[in-house]
Amino acid sequence: MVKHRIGLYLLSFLAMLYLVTPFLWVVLVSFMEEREANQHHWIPRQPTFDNYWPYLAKGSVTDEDKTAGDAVGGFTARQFPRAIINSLINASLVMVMNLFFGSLAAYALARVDFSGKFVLLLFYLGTRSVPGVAIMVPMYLLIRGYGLLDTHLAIILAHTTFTLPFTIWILKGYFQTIPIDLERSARIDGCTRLGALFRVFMPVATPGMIAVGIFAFISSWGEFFFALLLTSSIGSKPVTVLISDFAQELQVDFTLIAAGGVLVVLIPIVLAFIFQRFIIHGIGGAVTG
Amino acid sequence: MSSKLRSDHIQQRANHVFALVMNLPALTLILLLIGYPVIVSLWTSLHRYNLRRPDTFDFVGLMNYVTILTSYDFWHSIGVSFYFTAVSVPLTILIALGIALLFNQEFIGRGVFRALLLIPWAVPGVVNGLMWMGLLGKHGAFDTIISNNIKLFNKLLGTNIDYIGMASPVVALNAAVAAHIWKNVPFACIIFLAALQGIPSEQYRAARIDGASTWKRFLHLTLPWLLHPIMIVAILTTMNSFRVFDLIFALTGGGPGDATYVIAWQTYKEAFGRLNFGGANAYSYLITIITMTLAIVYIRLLYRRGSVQG
Repeated sequence: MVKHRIGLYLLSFLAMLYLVTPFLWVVLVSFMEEREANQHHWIPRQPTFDNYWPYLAKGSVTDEDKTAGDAVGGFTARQFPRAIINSLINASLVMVMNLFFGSLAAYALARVDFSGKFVLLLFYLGTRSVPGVAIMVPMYLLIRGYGLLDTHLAIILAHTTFTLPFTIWILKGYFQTIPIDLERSARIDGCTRLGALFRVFMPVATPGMIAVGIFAFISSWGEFFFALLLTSSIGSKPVTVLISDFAQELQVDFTLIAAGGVLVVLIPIVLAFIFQRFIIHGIGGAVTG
Repeated sequence: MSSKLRSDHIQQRANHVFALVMNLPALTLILLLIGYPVIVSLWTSLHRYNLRRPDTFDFVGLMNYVTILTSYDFWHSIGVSFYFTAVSVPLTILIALGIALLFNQEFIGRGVFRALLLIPWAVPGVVNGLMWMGLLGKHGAFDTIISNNIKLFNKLLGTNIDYIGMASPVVALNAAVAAHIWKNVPFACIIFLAALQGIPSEQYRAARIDGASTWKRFLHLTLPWLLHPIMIVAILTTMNSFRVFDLIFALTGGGPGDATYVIAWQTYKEAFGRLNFGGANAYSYLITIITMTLAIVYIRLLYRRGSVQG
């Protein structure tokens, strides 16, 4: 039995190493001077905050006056705070729209008997299997046609559309685990259908809503393809698109890139940690249920 | 009697209206931004349309498809994508399954382990690409480890293997696969963990009383229970592998040469590199057909297994 325990801890430790090491290295390198990073050790001997200063530097963030005085990658770094705000706006609104539209659709699918329900479910599942790259050209032309290129709205619409099918699917599964008697008794007490939905049902469904909400937020925060396609200026560029500039610019110190990576990941990781339980139970449970 | 029938009828009608109204916002958005583009995409794929000559929009039938299906570019990127998928999907499932079985045990600190599990999931694809570029680039942590080991290997066996890191097509492609697996393991793991928690513990107790070994319990109890979730994970990760883009953009840019030209990258280049919108839409359709076919195959397998399982 003791041997079994030791084995368990050993294997869990290995699993954790696999999951954590790559990103841990990035975090450690972000606190090193470039010279030190090239010496192949893991723990910074002289920890420095220097890689983070360019991200907090004051200065213009518009594309026109790119100053020559910047260090390599400095201009991209200077635009970061703005891009993080853009990402926050996008992801928050994508979350809200997912919760609102998604819960309405999922409620009907979970609670009401109607013909065509199966077809509708298949339709939602089918749209999930359409790869983004397969509709990029018409999507781009459509958004351009409405004059929405390079706006927050374009990204919010694109991300909402692509996360909605998953949200509906998960929420439907979650809603079905909630006993129907709850709304029945509310209806008997004189509640309207929508009244029962919002006053009685939603509070009980909160854990599931939190799970899909966080999921939609993190999906939007990390999405790159449509963000790249639909934005061009720092007024609307989210942080994933901005940091991808480092892949195009040559000779950017990796220590600077590492600090940027840490900044991009900070918000989703904190959210994932806080809502860990909801995510694992809500998403996992509904998919397998 | 007839009034009851009528009220049933009214109720049914009310249900229909209610369900439709509730689904309307989601449906409108999806039809507008996915449905409409899918149809336009089909239409455009049948035309000669290049943004360099935006006024030309000639109907050419299936010519774009013929051009693509007889081109080296298409078959090369299909090959790359199939390799990418064929390696990453089984490995993702195996690693995630192993970790889920571990983290499903009860031990002190399990909560912390489960929280750390979400790290790769929270890292955006682009950042993941940049991260592995650093890890495997010059002076990167993994680069150092690999080259030291190869030096040692050469010394011990007298071989002469030259490790050139990401400049090697084989290394670059497999690095992309490794990075993709790392990011996709947590999601698969979440699904497996939830499924494992659903196994009724009485069945385990009964099996233990019957004297079944750990391995037998896994084979006859856990694994059958996990078949359905494994299939779901297989579908989702296959789709993810076939559409991988952000990782390639940040990690390799398709290179070295065309070693990591996955199908999504090839399509993107066709559209926004060559501005050949007609051809790109034909590519798009071929991708959609491939992923849909794979999804259908999986779903059929899923239902066949499901009926056996009961």
